[in-house]
Amino acid sequence: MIEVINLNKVYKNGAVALEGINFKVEDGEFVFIVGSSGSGKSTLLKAMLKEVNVTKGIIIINGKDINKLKKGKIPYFRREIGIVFQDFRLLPNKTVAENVAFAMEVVGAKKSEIRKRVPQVLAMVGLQNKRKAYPNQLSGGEQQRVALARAIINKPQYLLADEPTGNLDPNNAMGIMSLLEDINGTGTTVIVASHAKEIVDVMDKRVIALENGRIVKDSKGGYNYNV
Amino acid sequence: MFNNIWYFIKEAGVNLFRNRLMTLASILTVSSSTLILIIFFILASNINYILSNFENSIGMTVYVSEELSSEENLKFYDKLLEIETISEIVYVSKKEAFEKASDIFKGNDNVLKGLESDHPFPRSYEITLTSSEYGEDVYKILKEYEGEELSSIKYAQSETSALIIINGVIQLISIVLIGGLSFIAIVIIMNTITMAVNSRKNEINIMKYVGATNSFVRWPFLLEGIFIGIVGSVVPLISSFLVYNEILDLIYKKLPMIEYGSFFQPVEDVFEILLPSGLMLGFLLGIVGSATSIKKHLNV
Ligand SMILES: Nc1ncnc2c1ncn2[C@@H]1O[C@H](COP(=O)(O)OP(=O)(O)O)[C@@H](O)[C@H]1O
Ligand SMILES: [Mg+2]
Repeated sequence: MIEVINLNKVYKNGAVALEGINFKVEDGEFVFIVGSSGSGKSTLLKAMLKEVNVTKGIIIINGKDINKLKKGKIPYFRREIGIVFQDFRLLPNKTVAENVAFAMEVVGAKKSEIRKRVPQVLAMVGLQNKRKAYPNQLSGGEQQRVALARAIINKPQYLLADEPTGNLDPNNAMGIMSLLEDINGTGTTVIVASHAKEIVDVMDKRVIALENGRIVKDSKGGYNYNV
Repeated sequence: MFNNIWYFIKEAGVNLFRNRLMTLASILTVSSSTLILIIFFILASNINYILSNFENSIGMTVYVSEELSSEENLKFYDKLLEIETISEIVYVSKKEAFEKASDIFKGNDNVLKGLESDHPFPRSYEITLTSSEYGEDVYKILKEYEGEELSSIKYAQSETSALIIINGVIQLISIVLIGGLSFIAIVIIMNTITMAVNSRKNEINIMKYVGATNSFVRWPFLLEGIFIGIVGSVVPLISSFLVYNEILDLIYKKLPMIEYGSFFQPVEDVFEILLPSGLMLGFLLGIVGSATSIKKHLNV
């Protein structure tokens, strides 16, 4: 479970990114965080990853107060959370399979485990035939699938996605969304930051809407929180 | 960590190869610091070696006048015995003096041919002192006899003190040069590692997102620095070992009056200390250079 209590984030330059944020996400949920550009979505995800330190408030993930997490423990905490970005962030000089395997290598997984697991996740994202291709030989949608495969290969309990469809056409975007639903179906808690109204409306999930760093709506249903 | 050792080595190797010009430059700077260490160490340790040989051998040699009769010579010997700071006196007769000279000119026998009965090598006393610090006092006493019983006195003090001064100067120069070159080496290694870190910013970012530990991220870069340091010091160490060996051989061959293998410090003795300290220097330069750069540019 993720519990966010009275979270505030003020950047050093004085920008107020988050103010009085409170919400809970149960295990296995699928949640959208929506809001216009600059409303604080990315900051909220970064706070949950402990990539930025919050100014005030508490984030409890899996029973652990991440404010109190020692620096040396952060890597192990991150292994419980998969993450994907708008810009895929694949390594251009590695093949699809190598990009995915990389996430296992750097947490010190055994070679035999890596060899077993990589084909499994590539099959799950539908890229078993592209495992030897390089990122620049793939479409945007395929690249984001590789990024998703990399995010879930270590079987994280949570998956955070920051605008995962921001660089994709509607067709590819829907493909990624249904993949996120599949991943959610395996028990992974999925939190997606997005400002793609059409998609959020179609998905019909719980939506937390931000405006100027505050939550203005938290309910099941579409994107539009002004009505 | 040992599970991952091959991964680290592979990554370090890729970095080293990718920035191979900088790798080469870093290795060369480590090599030059090590080379300076080697040259000055060899000079200084040889001077020390020669100095200690001096101290252990004769404190002084006094040459007896040609005219002095055997009786007078015996009386003079008694006077020498009275000097308390002398620990040992070895008399070298006319015959022994000739034999010594023949030894020195070994191989060039004809130089001394026919001189056996009427040769210019004088009788002498080889005096060892209880300590080299009494050298000046004893020298003063013996100086009184010069022109009378003694024809001349050979006292190495002036040569030794010059060597001591030269040794001090060499040590000072070497410390300054090694310090300066080590600084340059560290800066260049830092640059190399910084380039490696920068060319891998994306990778490092992803590594952190998927939960790689800090030490996991650091190891390839540390290995890179260690590799540069070790290779940079091994190359000049091995080549100087061979060169020093050759030079000693050459000197002993060309200068037969120096006893083979005894005058200069043997190559094994020099490298017994030089090899570990040279390797340590390279290792330290490599690890300090890479660790500094990692600390500065890798927020892990
Ligand atoms: N690193 C930063 N330093 C200073 N201000 C920042 C930084 N990152 C984001 N902000 C500010 O915080 C606010 C929220 O930004 P962000 O979380 O990126 O919003 P979103 O992802 O919804 O577009 C914005 O006003 C933005 O300018
Ligand atoms: Mg954003």
